[in-house]
Amino acid sequence: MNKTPFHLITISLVILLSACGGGDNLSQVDAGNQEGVLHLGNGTEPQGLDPHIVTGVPEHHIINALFEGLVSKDPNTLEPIPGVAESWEISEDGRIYTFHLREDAVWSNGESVTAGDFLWSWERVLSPELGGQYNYMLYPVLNAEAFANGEITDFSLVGAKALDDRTFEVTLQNPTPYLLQLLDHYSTFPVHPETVLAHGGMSDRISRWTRVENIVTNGPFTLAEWEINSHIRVEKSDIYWDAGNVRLNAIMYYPTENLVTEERMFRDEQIHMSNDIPIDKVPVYLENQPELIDIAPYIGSYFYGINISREPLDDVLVRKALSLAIDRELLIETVLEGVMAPAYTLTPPGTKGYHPPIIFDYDPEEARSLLAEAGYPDGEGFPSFEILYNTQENHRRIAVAIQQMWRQELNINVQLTNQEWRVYLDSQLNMNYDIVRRGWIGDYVDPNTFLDMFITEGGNNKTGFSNTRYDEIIQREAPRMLDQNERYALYSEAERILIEEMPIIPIYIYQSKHLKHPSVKGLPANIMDYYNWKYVYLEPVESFEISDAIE
Amino acid sequence: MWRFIAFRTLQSIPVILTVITVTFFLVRAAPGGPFDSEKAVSEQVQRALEAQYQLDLPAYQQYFNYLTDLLQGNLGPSFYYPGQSVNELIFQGLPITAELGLYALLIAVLIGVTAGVIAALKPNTLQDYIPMSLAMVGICMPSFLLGPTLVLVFGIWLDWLPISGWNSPESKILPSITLGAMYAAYIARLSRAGMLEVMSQDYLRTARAKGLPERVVIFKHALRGGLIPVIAFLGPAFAGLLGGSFVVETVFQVPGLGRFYVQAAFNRDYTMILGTTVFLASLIVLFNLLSDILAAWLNPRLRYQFRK
Repeated sequence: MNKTPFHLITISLVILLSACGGGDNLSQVDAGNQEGVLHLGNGTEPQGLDPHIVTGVPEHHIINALFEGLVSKDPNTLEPIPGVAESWEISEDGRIYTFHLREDAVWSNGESVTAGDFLWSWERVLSPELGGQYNYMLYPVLNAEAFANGEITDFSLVGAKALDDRTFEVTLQNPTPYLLQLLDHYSTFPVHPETVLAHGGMSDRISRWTRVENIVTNGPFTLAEWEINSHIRVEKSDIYWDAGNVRLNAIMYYPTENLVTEERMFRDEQIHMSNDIPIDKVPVYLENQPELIDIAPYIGSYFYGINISREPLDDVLVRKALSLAIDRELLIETVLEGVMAPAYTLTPPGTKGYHPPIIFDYDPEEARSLLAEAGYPDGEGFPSFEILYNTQENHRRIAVAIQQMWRQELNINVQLTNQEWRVYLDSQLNMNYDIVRRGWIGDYVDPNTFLDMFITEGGNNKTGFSNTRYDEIIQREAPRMLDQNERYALYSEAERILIEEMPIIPIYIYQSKHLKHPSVKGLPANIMDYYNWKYVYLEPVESFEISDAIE
Repeated sequence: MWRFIAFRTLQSIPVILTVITVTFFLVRAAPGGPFDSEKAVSEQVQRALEAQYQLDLPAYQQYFNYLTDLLQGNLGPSFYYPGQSVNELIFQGLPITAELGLYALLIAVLIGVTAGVIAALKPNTLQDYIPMSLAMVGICMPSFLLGPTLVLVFGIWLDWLPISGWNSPESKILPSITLGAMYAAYIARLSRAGMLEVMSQDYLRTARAKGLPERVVIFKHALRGGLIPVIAFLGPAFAGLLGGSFVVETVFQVPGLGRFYVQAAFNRDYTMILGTTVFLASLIVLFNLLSDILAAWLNPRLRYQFRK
């Protein structure tokens, strides 16, 4: 009788396992292909769905399906295409844009989308009480910045006018050739005024208007389900003006913070596409099934910021020596599995035809002589300093590699310090660091989104860098320049100054990386990692197997 | 019995109040605020954000406002999820985490008690060593290792069970086993120790001397006394399961409370940190109370102390 408990356990385990059946039922991806439902790994849980409040990429992917701005983007070329505005004119001097809204643009409750809705929405996102973190996207508009800062309180002074229900006129401070790029950013999207007001004030953050039962949208899809930490489901809108061209019936967004779990979900055919890939899995896929992996340049830059008010980093020779001693190719090959692209400039090359000047290369010989010139021959007497990064394995591995390169090439010692994300942001803001790991993702496709970071006292400068000519170009000359080539020449000059002075050490250009099921079509890779859901469709494949080598 | 319950309930009030106060000021003392981001925030925006969440008031006033709201059962708005209240978020995650915790606890008790009793019946033989070494492995194996291992075997190689989510009954099996495993191991050790102690007691010798069959001796007499440490452990264990399921919830993408709890700290979501902490602290106090009552019911000696 002593053996009875053993039998019990065995029997209950057998029952437990047999109860759960085999795996021969249809996978979620196959079912999705039949029903026209795209299942998508979407990174972190979205904070919310209010276009004027949220700030993240996962939110962007959802809001893009639910709302539509004046213009939209072609997913292949990233050129502006008509959205709510069917056409527009730009004045001779590039300062006045007149948008003609289409007749058939409607809200999901059937009301038509008017110029007045845009006007109200822009007042909302710029209102100082809302605290919209992306309100600066509208700063090129005349007086928008002054209104957002509370310097003027009369919104009619801001350069946005509803001439009639269908005509929206925007007056700019300076001709801003990339304005149409900004108008595809969710902070400039319209919201339905009556709906927002039914659930609170114009600028209340704490409001229930974005809930499934309340929200009114104007995009190709409408919100159907929203369960926090589980999923968000959007379904095709039948009254969207271009509904005839929308091919998906629904999109399911899953929060997939854990990359390892996300990759398993992909392998198990629970999602069509992943938001990211664990870096150590990349070579496995590339070797066995490269057709499943999508890697493309991304408009983001990974660099080290230098606190140039601290010795010995206040010496430009030292900063250059440090930068020249980093073998970026080797770093990327060994630490990053070859996924990223080496960076010698701040702006990713090829940002809408802009190619930044490359003025240095890996050169340990030169680095040593620069260091000697700065008074530290063979690293002698070089004071110890720290690299600060936020706690994460990849940042640590990169820092360790750079630490070794500096020790080997320059014979100097550097300490590594990691801090939890918010503590790290705090240290950065208070310039409480020597060298800090940073990353910057462009808000729009134009070099300005990178270069305006380093104007004197700029909120994102955080290095102490200040150069009069640089400020002059970024703040005064480039914004007034109408000709694209001349404008890029100016940015090129600014970037040269930045790299000569080296308050930052560029390390690599980001690459977006996704796992994508072969049935997913119409999602071309582009530098913004931008998806236009209207053009996405599913084409079931005959047979799909993940190679055993990957598992 | 009633005096005992009343006394223990009163004891818990200062405990909860201390938890609230310490957490309230500690989260505000941590470096980095809820609205910090990699992109610079203009001064105007920063002020607007603070005003929307009453962070512009002096700390003592925020504290008293918080206590006043709390007394009305209002845990405030989440700082990180605009438009969601902490109450809603907790009550969205709680049923799922409670369900997960319950299954895990059932698995833990079933496996743990069985293994512990088997081991105690023949101490220091293979029948003891095998379950106890397994228990040791269970205690040492972190759930972030056990979870993916189970997924690999049952989800991917054998393809029997879904690897993530919380919708079908099958999807609940792996998370529950992963979460329950560590507790099963503890319970196995507790019940073995408890049983061993009871087995050498006089009243068991008496029971055997009366000629009772071994089955009755074990199940009727020994188990009742031998499982008291297990019962005492269950209350806090269940509360711990609710708060400690974070890893399992992340590995299996379970939309429960544990994820909110840990994410809130990373996000500096002040009200959410406070709300979940106060809520879990109250649960721990409540379950401790319940397990004390249960223990008092099982062990008359505890009751007599309070009767006088």
